[in-house]
Amino acid sequence: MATEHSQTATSSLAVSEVPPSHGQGVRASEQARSSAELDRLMDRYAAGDTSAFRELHRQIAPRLRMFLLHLCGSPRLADDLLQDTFLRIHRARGSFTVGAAVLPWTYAITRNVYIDHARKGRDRNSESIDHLPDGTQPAAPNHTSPDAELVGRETLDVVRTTLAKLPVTHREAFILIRFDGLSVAEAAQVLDTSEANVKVRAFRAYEAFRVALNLKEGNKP
Amino acid sequence: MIPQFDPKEFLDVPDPFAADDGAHLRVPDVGSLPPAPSRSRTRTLRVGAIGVAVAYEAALIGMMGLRDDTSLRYGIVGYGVVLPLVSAGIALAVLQKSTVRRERVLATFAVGVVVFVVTTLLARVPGDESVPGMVGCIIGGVMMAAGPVLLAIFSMRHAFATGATWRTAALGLASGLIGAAATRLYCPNDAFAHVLIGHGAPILLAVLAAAALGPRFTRA
Repeated sequence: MATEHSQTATSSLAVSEVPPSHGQGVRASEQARSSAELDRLMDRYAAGDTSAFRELHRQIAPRLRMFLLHLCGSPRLADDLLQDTFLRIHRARGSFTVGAAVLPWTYAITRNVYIDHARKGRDRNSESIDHLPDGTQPAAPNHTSPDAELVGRETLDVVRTTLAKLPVTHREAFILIRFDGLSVAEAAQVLDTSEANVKVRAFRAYEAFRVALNLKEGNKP
Repeated sequence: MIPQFDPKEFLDVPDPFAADDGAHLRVPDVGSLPPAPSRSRTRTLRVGAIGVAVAYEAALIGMMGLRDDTSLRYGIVGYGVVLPLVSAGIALAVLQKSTVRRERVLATFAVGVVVFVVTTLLARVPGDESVPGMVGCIIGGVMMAAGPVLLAIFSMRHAFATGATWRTAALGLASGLIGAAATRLYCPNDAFAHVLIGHGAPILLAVLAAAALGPRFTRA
């Protein structure tokens, strides 16, 4: 019932154009600096100050979308799931504890949205990371020669394929730490498990990448 | 367990989606979002739910009739009512924090069960241990716990970002303990087996019902 309600509400969302302030590759130090501001924004929003929503969305939406994008591999699907995510954040704002960290909380809700999507009969990997819809192509490193660029693209293909093949638990842990810049403690909160478990999962994922990338280069790991 | 765990090593793995900066992202108009309670409203709702639960228990006890030996066995009633209520209160206080760690909730769960068993042992006196008596109290106890379970789930809608199933189960435990405490106020039978099974089974049922049905409402 709750899901139906949220879907209806999501489809009826009015939107306004706002230029994003965050791009990719937000550095950990910047994230740490902004996390306190995010916590304050969420506190204001939870207290009923709706004007904080816009700024909160501006700061946090790109990160949550990237998390979804790494999980599902489809930009279009990530956009849809992001809307549902913010609807749930809005719905749950009254339960946000005073002084709590907003990042683990919002990432956990984002993960719930993705899990619910996967449970609706669509395989978690069905929106395949092996192909990129909407004409999106993976970014290649900034190489000068065409050969180097080709190698870079092939590497990213291997990364995407490996990411798609990883067990979901390993994938989540690795994405949160590597691509979203969360600390192990924060990732543990998101995944509702121990820090040791997060380390194991992320390390197993990293091993898979290492093997895949080394094999690609013809080297034994 | 993981030797030399260093997340910096992960930077060896390039980001395949680095080019997608989400430049097209739009902020939903907050006015178009469905109404959602603020923190203060949520708190008011939860306090109100506790008040309604107390009124519900009082009404049921009024219907069943307060046990007539309360004054004689105030110690037994005290053990059986006050301690489970304190335990339930602690469980609710812990659970309403949105980011509480799993270990603390599980500890709360364990404390609730231990408190019930210990108070049952402390308060035991000879009495009727027949099955019909137990079944009667199980039915009564389920009625006593049902109201608090429903109110707890209602007031904790969308509250749990993580671990919704076992957190909601712990809500069921708190509700079951409240029901068991209330049952102690109308049931004059303090026999160990009767209390353990007749008053304890509704706690278990409340936990199972909350865990099975609650998460779809309490999960954020």
